Amino acid sequence: MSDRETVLQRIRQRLKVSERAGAVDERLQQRPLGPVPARACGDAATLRERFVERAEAASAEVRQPPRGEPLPTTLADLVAGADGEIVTDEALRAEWRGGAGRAVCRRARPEDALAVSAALCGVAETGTLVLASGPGRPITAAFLPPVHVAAVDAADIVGGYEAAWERVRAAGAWPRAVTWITGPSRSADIEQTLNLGAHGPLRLIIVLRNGQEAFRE
Amino acid sequence: MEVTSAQFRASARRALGDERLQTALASIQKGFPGKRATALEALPEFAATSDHVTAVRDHVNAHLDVYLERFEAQVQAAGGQVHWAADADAAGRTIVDICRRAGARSVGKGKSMASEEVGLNEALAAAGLQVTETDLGEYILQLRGDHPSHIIAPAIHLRRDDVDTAFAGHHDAGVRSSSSEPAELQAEARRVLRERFASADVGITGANMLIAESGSSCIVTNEGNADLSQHLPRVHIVIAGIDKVVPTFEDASALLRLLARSATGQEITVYTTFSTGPARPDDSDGPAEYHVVLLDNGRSELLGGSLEAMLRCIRCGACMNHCPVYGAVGGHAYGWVYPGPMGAVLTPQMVGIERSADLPNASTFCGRCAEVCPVQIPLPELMRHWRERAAEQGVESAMVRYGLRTWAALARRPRLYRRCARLAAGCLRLLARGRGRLTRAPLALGWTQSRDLPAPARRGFIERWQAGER
Repeated sequence: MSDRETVLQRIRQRLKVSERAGAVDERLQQRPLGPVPARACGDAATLRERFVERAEAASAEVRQPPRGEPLPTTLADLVAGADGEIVTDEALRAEWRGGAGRAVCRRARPEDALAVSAALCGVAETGTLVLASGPGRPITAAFLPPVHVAAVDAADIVGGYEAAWERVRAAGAWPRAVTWITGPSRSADIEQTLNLGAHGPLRLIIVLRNGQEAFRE
Repeated sequence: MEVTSAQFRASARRALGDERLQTALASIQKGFPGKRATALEALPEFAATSDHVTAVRDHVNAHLDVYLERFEAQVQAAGGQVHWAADADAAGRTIVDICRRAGARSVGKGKSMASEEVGLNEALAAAGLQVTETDLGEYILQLRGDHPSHIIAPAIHLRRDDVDTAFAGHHDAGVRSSSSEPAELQAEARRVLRERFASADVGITGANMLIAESGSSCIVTNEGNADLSQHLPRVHIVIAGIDKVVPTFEDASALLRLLARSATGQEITVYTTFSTGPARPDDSDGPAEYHVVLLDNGRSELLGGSLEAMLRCIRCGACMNHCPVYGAVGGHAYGWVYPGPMGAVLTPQMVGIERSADLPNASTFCGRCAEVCPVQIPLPELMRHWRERAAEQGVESAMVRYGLRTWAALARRPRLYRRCARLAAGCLRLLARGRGRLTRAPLALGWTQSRDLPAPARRGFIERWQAGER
């Protein structure tokens, strides 16, 4: 008997029931919600404010540039300090043309100094960014470079995690990786002393924009 | 990992005398519970979410076979592979096989208690693979040949100079940090591990959840190491207990609202990643192979019995953070992978009660663990279950067995019991010679070695009650 049959048979013997597939499939179809916290609810302005507040509480830096400002301008200080190529999403690459910094869309490497991603959405309840991998969207960019920038449009700030999943479901083919990011990397494994930049970025910079929904382009 | 739970008493005694360990343990009890309380206060819906998630976990356990089949079908539909492991050996063999077929030489590993449980590092090393633990705490332990003493803060028992020594013994002088400040040591590990991430052929991670609707695995970290271990190598292997399944992303979201708050007091961990299958043909990055190893190893035996609630466990560590016994002796004394109250329930299941009979007794039954458990596991009740099994099987010491039998015989005869109690109280009063306390008492050296025993009062409770003193 294979391990698969062994394990399934053990479970069925213990549960002493044979056919419960109906209840399972119904639940998988209906996807009932649990309690959605009050902090995940509110109008767009409230959610935007809460998103910024929670993200900063998690040590992310938030920049809110004037409408229409291209990323190289918003990130001029970072671009000046970073040698080599800037790893970015295909959807953002056009913004870098003609400006400072060489933006490329590729898998990140250990020596990369700066990456700029487009977030699928932001979640107000905990100041969390939702990123998804895909063609032209290297997820490694969010983890290898010491400085990671994520652009998100104010129209893409949702209240809670459930609303974020609605966005992922609406975005089409399921991405291999969906990553929630709340602040820069950290560890307290040595003497419970919290330090930023454990393996992932030491700095997370959120560029909260208006009318520039890069992820959907 | 060798099981040393049978030596709990000796290990606990050693731990109590270990000053460095005591300092570390004091910091756990100072840190985690306060942060958790603050986080819960900021989420008024915590209790309702706990009720909801507890119900979801019970629903899944009651339909576990079907959920596992749905999960498997979805992993396959996404281009991944599912492997079933009935026990620890099967898990090790399966993962070694996947690595061999992939022609792998090096493995980068995220922190996984399931992998500790099956002794995965030993199995991989025996197959000639070079394994690097990438969680900072686990990496330090690996260099020292040490084991985790806490399920979410594995190196909690070490101090900065222990880490400094471990690094000095294994890192080239060129990458060494200039001081033993935690920030510097962390930066040193970062420098060393970046190259390992990039060069690993296989990445192995655990899973905090498996999502049935999509066949996804979910893993949370604060460091980002599990992400580097699963997005960079050519092969990603997930090892997870069969108890990790939740139905949908909505259910996963509810559970995540409990997990970090209960564990570290964070609202959410820095990284929460849901992986579904291997990279798609046009993806910019991601592994070419995605495997999930579903581990039973005694879990299915918990179904349908009095210990079933244990399968709700989300491995947050709140029970040990709040346990006075864990706080006094630390994780290593428990002698295996899972310490604290949850370990006192799981270890007897996985290694046998005859090898771990002291663990369910390593509790004052104060009930704090059950109070703080986000999925409402009645841990003291489950420990009592194991105490009863131990008694039935006669695995406790002869002294305890005969002592309890004598006491039970007396307790069933109230008159005799009271007479004996009066006699004993009288003797103790004589021994105290009017000082009101005893510095040594027969049969109670365990008590009097570290504190005085108060001498019994002249008249006991029942006597005074009967005399109308109410």
